[in-house]
Amino acid sequence: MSHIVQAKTTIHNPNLALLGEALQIVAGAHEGGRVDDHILNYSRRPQEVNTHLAVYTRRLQRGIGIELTPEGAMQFTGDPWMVETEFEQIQQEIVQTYISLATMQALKAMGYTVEASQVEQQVIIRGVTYA
Amino acid sequence: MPKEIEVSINPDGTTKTDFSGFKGPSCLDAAAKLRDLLAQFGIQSEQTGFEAKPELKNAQAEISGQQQGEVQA
Repeated sequence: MSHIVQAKTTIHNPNLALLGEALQIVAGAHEGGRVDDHILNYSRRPQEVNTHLAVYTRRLQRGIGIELTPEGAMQFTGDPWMVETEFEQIQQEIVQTYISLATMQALKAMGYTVEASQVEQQVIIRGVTYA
Repeated sequence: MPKEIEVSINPDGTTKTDFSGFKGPSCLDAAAKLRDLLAQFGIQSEQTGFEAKPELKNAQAEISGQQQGEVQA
């Protein structure tokens, strides 16, 4: 037995395939959820996002998109008018799901058998190896 | 005894990683490997807390004692 580390995380230059997978999972968890390659602006016209990744739900009808800054920082874009709470919640779910998927892949690459579970708002990734 | 790494991920992106079943300081190598692999996915971790379990403390004390012995010799 060894140690416990607590950390805060930031995402720069994410793996877009894995990020797309995270968006599909988040969309699938919400009524009317779907993934598209653009958002709708305040006048409901399509607006491109540079990752071509956006999520819509029944409540977020204009969508929430993911953009990368020139430095690679991940940021969310969209019109949160009247849906501020959902807008914030979906952002958190995308970040949490992306980190969870990446952690699972990392542990598998280390030779661990991995399982995931959810306890209230926390995602728990558990890796075990007998090597 | 199996080696186990349990990562708890909060909605705000903060994490708690619990390493157990490791011999001595090998858990620190596993932590570095995990951090490097996550960096490949663009995830940068900034450590905000660290708690050594008794087994790691004992191993570190042993290594420190050996180093002091070597210096005195």
